[in-house]
Amino acid sequence: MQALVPDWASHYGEFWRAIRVRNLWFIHLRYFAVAMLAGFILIGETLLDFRLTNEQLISISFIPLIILSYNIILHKTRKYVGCEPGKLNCLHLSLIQMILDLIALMMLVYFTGTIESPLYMFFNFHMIIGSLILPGYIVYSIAGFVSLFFSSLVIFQRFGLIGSYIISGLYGSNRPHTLTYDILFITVFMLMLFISVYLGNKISRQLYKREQQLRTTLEKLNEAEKAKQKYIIGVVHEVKTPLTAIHSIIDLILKKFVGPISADVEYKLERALSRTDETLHLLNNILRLSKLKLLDIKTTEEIDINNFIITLLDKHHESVKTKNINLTYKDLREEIKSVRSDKILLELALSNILANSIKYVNENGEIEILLSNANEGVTIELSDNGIGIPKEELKKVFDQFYRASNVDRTRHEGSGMGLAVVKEIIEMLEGEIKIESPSRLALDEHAGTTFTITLPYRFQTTSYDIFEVNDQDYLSSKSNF
Amino acid sequence: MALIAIIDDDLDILDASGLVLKSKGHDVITATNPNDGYKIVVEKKPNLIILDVMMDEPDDGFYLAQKFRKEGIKIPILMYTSVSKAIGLDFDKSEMVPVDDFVEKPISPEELVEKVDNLLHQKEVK
Repeated sequence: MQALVPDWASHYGEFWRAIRVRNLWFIHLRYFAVAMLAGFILIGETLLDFRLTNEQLISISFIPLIILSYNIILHKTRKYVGCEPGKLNCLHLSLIQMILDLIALMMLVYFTGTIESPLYMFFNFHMIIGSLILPGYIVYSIAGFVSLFFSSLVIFQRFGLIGSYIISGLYGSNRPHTLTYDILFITVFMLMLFISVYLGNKISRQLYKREQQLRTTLEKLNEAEKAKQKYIIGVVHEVKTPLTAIHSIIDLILKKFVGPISADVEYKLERALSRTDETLHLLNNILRLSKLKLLDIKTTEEIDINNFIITLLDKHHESVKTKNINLTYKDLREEIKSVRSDKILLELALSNILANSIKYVNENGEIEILLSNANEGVTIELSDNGIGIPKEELKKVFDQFYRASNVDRTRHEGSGMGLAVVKEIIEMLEGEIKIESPSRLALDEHAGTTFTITLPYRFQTTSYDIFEVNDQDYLSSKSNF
Repeated sequence: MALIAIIDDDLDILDASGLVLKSKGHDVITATNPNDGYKIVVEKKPNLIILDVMMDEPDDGFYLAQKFRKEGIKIPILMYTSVSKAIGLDFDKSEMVPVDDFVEKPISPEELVEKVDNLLHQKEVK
């Protein structure tokens, strides 16, 4: 049974996910088929004057009941069947489903007239579905069995070895066709089955392979991105080392460890120190951003977001007090729910934004933080009446190295990396960040800025492997079908 | 005062920190690589070791710190790092990194003096 799983797919999450989803999809489809069948019998008998015999009627009515019962069993057991290649897995479930369906269909076709039955077309449909999930040789064997069984029935019926059950209401005479017709029909039928299997299999194999290629390419791209970030970290460290030495030496001279210096020299050295400070700040931010990009988030925890914000505000209390800023915080949520996320990263992001606002708000300025519900998450809105951001530059704020043109560079040191870091983090946490200027708190001379961050309640670590995905969540989501 | 060993592959950093510590009356011995660093610590038994992370060296600062601890050398270690700890993703004091404190580069003389005093004082208390 292990041979069911193609080699290339055995450790390939996407393949298993597709199989599981399709299995469930077939189960749903089968309920629909049962309803259709019941309708077929009902409408056929009452409106189309099928004139089915009692034997036919009983047999045909039993078939949808049988299908319904095994479908319910499949539906209930499906979730206990895993995806391990060595054991009974969802691929076996697909095969079992297909065999059961084919047996039911064969019975149905037999009781509605075999070669005369319009329902034989559904064999083709099964072949296509089978080719999408099962390996080629299995579907070819199934097509072979179906052809053999079907032609035997036709031949046996022609020579009267077994009974025929044509829908008598649809025909004038008993045997409308010649033997040549039977043979021709069977040949075309077999050809149709095999061609469907061939095409279906080939196309689905190609699709899987293409998907796999895409996946490997994506992985390679990720690797390349990581290599790039590692390179950046390496280079930045190399630049940073001598710079820290320069900084330390200048600092030493300024603090008179080497001896007295003139006021002129002191001023020049102070300039040199502040320039190295700026550069160091920039390098640190680049390092931070690169490290963030290398980071795979693995640990998440439940965060009481209200407490979280209060703690954050406490940490910035000093700087708020120094500038005499009027800082207000309101929790406007109607539904109180914790947020599952990475606490350290979240704190880093929010702290950066808050520090940003504090930095660009004037003395006695205003900062307002609002916490509210969002669609499946929370929204944290931070508005200030600081210097704001020119409208035409709003799109660029999250770019690396961007600094607003209205920043007084002699007063505010900065590298313009802070918001790029924030955006990187929020996106890693599958949230969204938006910026507006002017803000609600805008004054005449100060446009102010509003940052709106939306975070999902449940941040799930991204994973392409079905074994790490909660498949109940996955399958219950309608968008996956 | 105290004898302090500084191990760093950057001569300017050795010079600068040496200058600061000497001005506070400490005696300073230096080494520019982990091997020499190990030697001066074993021979001179300083009161405090200042150790750079020395990422480029094959046996880096962490390795040397672990070696000291494994051999029962309990002299306090102050580690110089140029890695920003700001985002909490980097190392911190732990079993893996058996050092007593960190000073982030660029080194501010005040911070260095303060941390050195703290560590030396701690030892006296013990």
